[in-house]
Amino acid sequence: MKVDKRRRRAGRRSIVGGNPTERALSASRLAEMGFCERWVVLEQRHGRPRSRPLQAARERGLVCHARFERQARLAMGVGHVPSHGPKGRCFVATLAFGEGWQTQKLRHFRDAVLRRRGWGRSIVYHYYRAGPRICAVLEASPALLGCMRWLLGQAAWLWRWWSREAGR
Amino acid sequence: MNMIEVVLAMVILAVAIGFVGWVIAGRRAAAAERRQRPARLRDAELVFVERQFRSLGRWPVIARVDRVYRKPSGILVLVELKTRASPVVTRSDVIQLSAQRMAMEDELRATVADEAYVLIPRGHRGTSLIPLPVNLMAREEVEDLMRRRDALLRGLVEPRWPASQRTCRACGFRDRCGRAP
Repeated sequence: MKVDKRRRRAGRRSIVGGNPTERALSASRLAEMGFCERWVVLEQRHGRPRSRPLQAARERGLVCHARFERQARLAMGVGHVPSHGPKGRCFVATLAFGEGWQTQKLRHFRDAVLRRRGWGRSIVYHYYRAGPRICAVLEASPALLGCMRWLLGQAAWLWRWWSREAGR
Repeated sequence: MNMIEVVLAMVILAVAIGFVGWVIAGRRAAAAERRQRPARLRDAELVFVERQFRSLGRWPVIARVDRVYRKPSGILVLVELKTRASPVVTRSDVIQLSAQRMAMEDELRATVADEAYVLIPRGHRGTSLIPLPVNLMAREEVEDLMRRRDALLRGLVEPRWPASQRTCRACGFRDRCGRAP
């Protein structure tokens, strides 16, 4: 009974029949042909063999892949400014620095990092909505504006240093 | 400072700390990523990470690639991570990367290089990677292989034994399969 279920499940994975999207074969399944053809047939009949060493190797591979992916995504964090170019004004940075290099660098960060990602675009959207109100609070409090100027200055400096390093 | 200002200052501080952490982690990751690249991809740009591609031809393939680099000439190069003890390229790697190339070419309508790379972790911790070049199969060869797989699963052809008996030693079907000739 169990074997029959497995066989039916494996049969569905075959590339025979169905529309092209359903019958698409994954590259890793095709790669099994390079391992052993008998294995491919037996796997279809009986399902994937399960053993502790295989499971351990699979988990090790998943951990390694996750690290590999995380590293690449972080490394991709610094990219080029999108081809459509920078747009919009930076409320808080303009209030703190005018049109100084810090403002330019923070705009570059917005265009190169935030606008390229879904979560980043969401931050930019909410920032533009809250920006004028934040500016009103900052204008009313010179101490807070000084604190913000220092923090944004550090962030702009760090981003300038980081862009140079990444560009090497 | 009133309560709103204190909260706002704390939020700003938290964002600033997060940003600094993100920049430092990113810088480290970028340096590590550059170190791990094959020498021929030094001037290439990392363009895709863990992205799925799909071709919808007569023999449709779906493939998830680990990394794709774009050379200054515009040609894309596939890179695949494999976690195994010995630094060797197997036939499975060649087939997998060739199928990936087929799916990518069909979806992106871009040129993908004939040479790809397999990265294998060095040592137990696997912090450094060994890059091994792979010459990919032609599209016709991949389609032939898909045709053969289909015929095998339908029972139209007899499955072949693996080239080496070493394959059988670690196989999970050793008991069901019988002895290799």
